[in-house]
Amino acid sequence: MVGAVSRLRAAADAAAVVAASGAAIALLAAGYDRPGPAAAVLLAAAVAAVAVTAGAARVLPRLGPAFALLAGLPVAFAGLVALAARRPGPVREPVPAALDAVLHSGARILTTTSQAPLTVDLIAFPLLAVWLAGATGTALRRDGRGLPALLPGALLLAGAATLNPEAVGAGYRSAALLAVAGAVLLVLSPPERPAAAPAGITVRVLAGGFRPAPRRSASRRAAAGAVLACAVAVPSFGMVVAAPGVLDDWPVRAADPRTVVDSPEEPREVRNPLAYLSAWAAEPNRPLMTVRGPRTGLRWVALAEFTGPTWLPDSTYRPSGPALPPPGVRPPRAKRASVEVAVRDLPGDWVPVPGTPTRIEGLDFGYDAASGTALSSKGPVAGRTYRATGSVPDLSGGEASRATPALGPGFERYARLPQGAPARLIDIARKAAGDGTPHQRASRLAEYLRESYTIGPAARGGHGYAELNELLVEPGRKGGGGTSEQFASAFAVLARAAGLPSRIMVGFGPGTGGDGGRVVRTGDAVAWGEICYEGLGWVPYDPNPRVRSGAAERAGTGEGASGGPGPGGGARTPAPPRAVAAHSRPGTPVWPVAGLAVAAVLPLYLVAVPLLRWRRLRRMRRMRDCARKALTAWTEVLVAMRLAGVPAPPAATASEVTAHLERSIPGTDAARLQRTARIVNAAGFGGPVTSQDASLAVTEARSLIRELRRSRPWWRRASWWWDPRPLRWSAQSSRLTRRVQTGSAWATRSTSTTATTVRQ
Amino acid sequence: MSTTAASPTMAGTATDEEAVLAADTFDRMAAAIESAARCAPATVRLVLTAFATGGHVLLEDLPGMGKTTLARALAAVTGGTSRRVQCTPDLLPSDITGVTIFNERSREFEFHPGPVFANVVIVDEINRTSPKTQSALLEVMQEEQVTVDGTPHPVPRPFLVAATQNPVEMEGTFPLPEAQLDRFLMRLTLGYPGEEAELALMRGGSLTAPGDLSPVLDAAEAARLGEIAGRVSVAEPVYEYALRLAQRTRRHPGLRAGVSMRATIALCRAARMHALADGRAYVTPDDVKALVPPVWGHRLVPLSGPAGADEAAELLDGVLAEVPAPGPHENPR
Repeated sequence: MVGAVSRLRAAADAAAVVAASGAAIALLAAGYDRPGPAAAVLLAAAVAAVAVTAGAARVLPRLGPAFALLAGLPVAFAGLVALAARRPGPVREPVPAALDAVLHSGARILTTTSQAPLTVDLIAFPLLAVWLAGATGTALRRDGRGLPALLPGALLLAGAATLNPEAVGAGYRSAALLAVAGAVLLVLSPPERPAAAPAGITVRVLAGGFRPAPRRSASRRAAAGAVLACAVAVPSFGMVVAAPGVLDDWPVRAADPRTVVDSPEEPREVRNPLAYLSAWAAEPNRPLMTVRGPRTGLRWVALAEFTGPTWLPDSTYRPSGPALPPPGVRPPRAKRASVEVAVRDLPGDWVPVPGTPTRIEGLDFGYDAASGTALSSKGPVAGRTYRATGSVPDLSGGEASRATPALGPGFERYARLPQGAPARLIDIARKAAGDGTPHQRASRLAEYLRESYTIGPAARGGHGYAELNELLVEPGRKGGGGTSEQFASAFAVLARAAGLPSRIMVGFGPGTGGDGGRVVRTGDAVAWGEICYEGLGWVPYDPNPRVRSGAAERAGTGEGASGGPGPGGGARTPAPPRAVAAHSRPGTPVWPVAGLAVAAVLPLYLVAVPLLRWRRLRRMRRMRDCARKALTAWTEVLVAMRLAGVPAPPAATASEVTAHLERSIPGTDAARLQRTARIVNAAGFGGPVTSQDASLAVTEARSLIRELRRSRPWWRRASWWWDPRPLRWSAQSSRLTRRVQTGSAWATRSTSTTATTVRQ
Repeated sequence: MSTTAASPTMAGTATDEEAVLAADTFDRMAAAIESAARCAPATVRLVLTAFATGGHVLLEDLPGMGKTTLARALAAVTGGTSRRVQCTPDLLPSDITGVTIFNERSREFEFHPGPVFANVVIVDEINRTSPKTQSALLEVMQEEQVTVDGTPHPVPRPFLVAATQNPVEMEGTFPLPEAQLDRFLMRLTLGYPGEEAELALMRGGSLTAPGDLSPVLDAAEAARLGEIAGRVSVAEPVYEYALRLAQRTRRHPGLRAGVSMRATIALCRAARMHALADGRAYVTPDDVKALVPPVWGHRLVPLSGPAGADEAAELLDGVLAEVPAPGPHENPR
């Protein structure tokens, strides 16, 4: 029976260590495009780490925990080799691929989008981290340490949270799992800590597994464990179920470390996409691609860097798996659109996608999260077929009407105009934009361009200051023709001159055709301007004049108010200001968050603090070393004195402390106090301490603690066992004790701090 | 001081049985002395501690407080001889160390030992004699021998100088130099006895004459006490505590000079014996705190001049209150 209980206990213990070390798995797996398989791989690593380390420690216990840790590493590497055979990275041969993964995994994770593909080089680092967490946790646990066994898992969880700050829900699940594992480990922890050896290394010999607890205490331990487990599990469950829903919109997010890492750049010889528009406008019927799926426009390239002569596209593209990270700002009422694109003759490497892409299959590509554009990593997209899914926002609700332009840190470059701007540009911008909200001003700019000019397919190309000066500045070509690239550029430049953050987007209309596929032609290509708003992201504005011209007509045809990424989806849609301030997302109320936090922490606090303090007293009573027992009892007395507001003076010796107690607590037995002082002095300074002495010291300590508590006002008495400070004071005392044991404390601490840890 | 050959058990620390036996010896000596001299028991303990440690005592108090009686009682219970020197300004060094005289009969020079050749030497009103005579005591107090005409003459062991001085009447006196004060292990004041004790003294007849006291221990036993005290264990934090106290006196703003290294060594030696007198084979910070005022008080040099007993006690109380004492829980085994 005892053996079965012991085995069951060991199994529960191992499962708790697996749970602790694998708590971060949900969070880590959220960073992959296929979280399920990634979680399975990491979970297998956690289980194997615990099993291998425990096995190694059991087979060769004399070699110590370091050997057990090292013994598992070859197994972990073998696992990587097996994984490399199925999911290789850039290197194809399994063993070199595993080696390559070990060496480069960290760097590649940081230079890949958060939804990374599940390849060996992108999962090796998390896998080894999980393995080490499991192995270290097992070694600590076998060393008799309960809560420290949680530390590797907690550190891993912190690292995973840093790596995937957007995976809020997974983070709560991971934290809850870690809390539950901690509760289990706490309940299953042995009653007595191992004694610390002078060298600072603890050794614990457990013959035949864990020592069964005394029968008489089993019920109490079970009750305490059940209470603690409930206290942890209930709020943890609440966190898992409720917190993601409540906190998902929490405005505070940790920064993604990938954003501060420069990804390797591969220079590409590509033409500026705007330059194609003029040529395509002159030859509007050349097919570029065939699109199957819902009727929606496609976004191609974003250009945010204006140099004066030209607009440049963003160039920070990170390798990505099929799944793409969610956008930093979630546009309102976004609809999912998935299209299959067969590219015929599209130049360049940019990948046309519907709206903000969330998934691209059938193509190796890099992704620039800032602009939401994708770039084929295997050269031009011509001749390729892929499926792209994106979220297309519906801005017809007037969300932009009261939105504030995004001009904070990171957005300055979108409002910057290089030197050389035509002198009258500011005047034109001011006159055209007028007064009003940012959205009204941007809309007037677009309207000014739309109504004052016409599309001239035969007009000369170019979109720099010179062309804009010719187009905009009086007498200019007002009433005459321009190209889409020029109107988009004019809108963006005027917007910046008016203080609005802007960029140019190049894309395509939905094309023409039936269910068999729509053909997108060169005449469907169009450029438009976008303004960035707080909480809304980039809102499109169509500055292209409405004339019977191929590009403009197609771009506007059929898009209506809910059109997609193209100009029809935004520039024409922004409705007159309405009462609904849609841009101000329902603010996250603070009280549910605070209430949730209190609900999660309070039960844990109410149960954990008395339990931990009770554990200390229980440990004191069960100590076998008489001197340590007496000294621990004395420490508890000093802690209680401090808690009771009668701290022992730092310069007081044990005898003087007892005299202080005698004065503080009327009616105490002076002889017993002196006897206690003599026992603890003997215990601390080299005298003999019998078990009877130790028991007497413990009895006296408990009596004194009781009396000290009674001496306090009722409300202090009521909160006595819930005051967490004694845990810290005791821990400080323990640390000091260990330092003294290693002979370092008295040599290093200053006079002013000597012996004050517990007393004050 | 003669030492007993070390047995195997003596090589380690003192045992609890040895400590208990030593404490019993101390108790019996203290009881005997207290039957002859109406002194505070703590003072008697300190005098006995100094005697067993091999240190000398400076009794500083008003006349008629029982200083000489205490010294004579100590001499009696230790089974040794006691001699008394009444210091006057015209006292010569040879008057206390002894002289070499030519014996007409034997036609040889013979050494006639002075009063320092006793186990307990009572030097009354030491500050009334000249510095030259005071310095004559230096050698015998430190070396436990007297050199006359180039010939060293060892004094009997155990050897204790119990000097007295009157702290009030300073006219015509020669204050002891710091070097000589440092030779004394302790400076003690007897103080007035309690009312009951003083009434008993007035009634008379209740005290035993010092000369009638029976010896409690002999020289060999006294040496044995010293040997056991040498094996009393002192935990490292206690040594460190004594060092911190000494360092504090050296940095004290009200002191021209703190205590010397000799003073810290003396403190530790005395603390061992103090612990033994209490029946313990280990020293606690309580031993150190109890001994700091008597052992260090006369060694302090305040900015305002030599420290009297009260002033020294006040200074040292401040030092003891400032320096944290090591708690037993900070030195687990």
